[in-house]
Amino acid sequence: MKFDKVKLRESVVSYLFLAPFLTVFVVFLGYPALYSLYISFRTAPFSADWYNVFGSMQYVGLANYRELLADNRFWWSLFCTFIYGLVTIPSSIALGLGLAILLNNKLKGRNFFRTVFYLPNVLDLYVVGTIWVLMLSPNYGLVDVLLSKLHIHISGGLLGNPWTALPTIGLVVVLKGAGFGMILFLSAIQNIPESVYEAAEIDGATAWQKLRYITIPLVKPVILFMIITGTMNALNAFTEVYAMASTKYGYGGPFIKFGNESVGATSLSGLYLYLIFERGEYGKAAAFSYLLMIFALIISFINQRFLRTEK
Amino acid sequence: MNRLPAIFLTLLALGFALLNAYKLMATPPKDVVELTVWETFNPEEHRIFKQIAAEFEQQYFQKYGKQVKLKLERVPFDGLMPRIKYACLAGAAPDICRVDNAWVLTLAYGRAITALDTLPNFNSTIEEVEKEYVAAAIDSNIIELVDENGQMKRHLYGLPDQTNCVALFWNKDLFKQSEEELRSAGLDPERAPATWEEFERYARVLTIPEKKQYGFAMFNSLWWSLPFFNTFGAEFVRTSADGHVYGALDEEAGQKALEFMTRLYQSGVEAGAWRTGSINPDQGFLNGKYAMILSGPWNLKRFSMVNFGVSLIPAGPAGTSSNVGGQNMVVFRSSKHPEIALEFLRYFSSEEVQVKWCETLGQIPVNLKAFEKVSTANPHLKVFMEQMKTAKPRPKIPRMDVLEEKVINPAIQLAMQGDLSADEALRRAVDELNKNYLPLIYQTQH
Repeated sequence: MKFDKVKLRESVVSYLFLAPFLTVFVVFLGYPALYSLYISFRTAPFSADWYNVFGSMQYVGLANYRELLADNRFWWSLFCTFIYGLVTIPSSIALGLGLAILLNNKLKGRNFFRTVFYLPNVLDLYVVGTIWVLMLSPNYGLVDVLLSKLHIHISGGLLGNPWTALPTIGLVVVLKGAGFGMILFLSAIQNIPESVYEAAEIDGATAWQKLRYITIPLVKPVILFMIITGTMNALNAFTEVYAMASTKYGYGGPFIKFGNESVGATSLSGLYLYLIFERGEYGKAAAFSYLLMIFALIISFINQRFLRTEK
Repeated sequence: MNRLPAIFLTLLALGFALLNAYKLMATPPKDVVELTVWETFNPEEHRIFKQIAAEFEQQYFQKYGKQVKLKLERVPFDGLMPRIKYACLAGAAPDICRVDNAWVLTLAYGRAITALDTLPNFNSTIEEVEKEYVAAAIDSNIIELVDENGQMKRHLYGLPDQTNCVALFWNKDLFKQSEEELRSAGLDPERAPATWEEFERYARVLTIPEKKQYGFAMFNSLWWSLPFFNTFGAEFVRTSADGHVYGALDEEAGQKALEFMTRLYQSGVEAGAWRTGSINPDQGFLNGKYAMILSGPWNLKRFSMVNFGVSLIPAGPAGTSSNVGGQNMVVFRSSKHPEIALEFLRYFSSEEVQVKWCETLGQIPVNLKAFEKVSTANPHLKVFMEQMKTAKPRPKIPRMDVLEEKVINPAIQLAMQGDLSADEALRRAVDELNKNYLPLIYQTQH
């Protein structure tokens, strides 16, 4: 009996300490998430009263989900997101790892370089994107001028050409975020005992073999972490496209033909979701979010299954 | 250490006291009626607007013996529409708001604003009020909606407070620099082109690739394309004999206009300024890289460092014409004093106030009597006032914003890029318009 009383008291105290967080969680996360699920089965009529949009929503079952799954633009946005992830995730890992390996050496001024490479990471993505737009602008931007000196001419400019727009945005994001990957890899590399490398050197291992058989396997948890966060970032990506490929006359451009539709070459799922929300199609936007969540869970599960480290 | 709770409680009590004091100070006395006005004026306009609001308060008191306080809140123009949406949902909409003329339709469909003609102190008819204002400026406020009996009913949802259109800006220095070439092409470097045919010839001479200079640069959206469509005589929608509204932009005139725009870009005389990531027309004109652009009176001050001229939009087969932009003032349905709000809107757009406003700020009056009366020494503004006479308002179609963003702007862009013919691009846009947007006109119940 005495044991139970103590246990109960401990539980009550624990819940009391947890209460502030739980309250915030329920009010700002739990309730909105459940409410989003609720409205994903509802839709507001075109002439819904602006003072009571949610009240005038009608139950439509799975219609929002069906409409999205039959919408070419939805699939196109997922395809763009997939390509974006394909560009950004491996490049972020490669660049972060490369920088970490370089700056793990006893170079002169390595602390300075570590700071410099990390610095863009603390800047706002919209600001970084806007600066890059100026550098990339056709005819007058620094990058375009350099490319034309090399006799490389890209019709419409790097951001105006449907083939180069998305990879260019991806590259900008990779460069901005490289410092973050570098810090993660650096801390993982510094945890690898020096003796492992010394043993490999005695066995005659080359630099490539040390990287391939020692460094990469031992930083695999960081790689897995970067793949999962990179996937989430790609699914949520919005600011970069909003800053670099959108004007008030069109979002996610340049436009191309996709079936019978005109779609933006940089129309990522995050941007498409934003546009649906902006149009006041709240039910459809909620359904979109849940579909994205399902995709994110599937991708995370696959990542975990194939990339988990052996204990 | 033991004093900490006491200090904390004292600070908390002080905070509450300050909050209550602020509330008391912020609440107007009971006999003063307060109306909140959301406005997007620039600092110079805001200064004059404040004076006008104060004058209105005074005049209202003299006329009705009732004290009114207009609480002016400056809000950013960008993101205003979502802000209004959330304010309506939260029951925190202002009494009056200054909105883009394209938004009145959306606000009316969403029943966010009051039909002014239904207010007891309207004391007039829509037709009479219509005659008091510049036609292009009042047009966006008069909207036909289906009522509860299924009948189309005309209502007045706002009053204009500012109107504008675009005209042709040309860089005199760049014209001068190419004087010889222009003369040998049979063109006068001292004036702007008067027709599209002439415009194309000017633009060709003024395009100098080695200097990265272009004859022309344009934005790319339906609104910015309207000067082309209008001058070629294209109609956005037509009404059949049985009263059915249908899309007409894909008719021959529309195709010709889009083909012309496409030719300008594909022949290299248009800079491609509408493409993602490019230097926009305003910036390129300021930097002396674009010889001609279409722009509005809002840029007259900004371009003061450029030696420029303003002339009418070059004439096409249907003569010169332009688009219509500007701002209207609307009264929200949640306003507790819509009659006073209407009174203020009428006051602000009255002849006397408009003359003062426009002569001080160099703007185009919305009031017809003021339009005829206002004397402007600014020759550029005179051109805009002349252009307003032939400007055509944009069509009033439900969800026009979505239609533009999702359908029409991409279609125009695909045609300009050469991915679709002008004919196909416009046909696709019109099909979508007929299928998904125009039927909404008959669905709304108010």
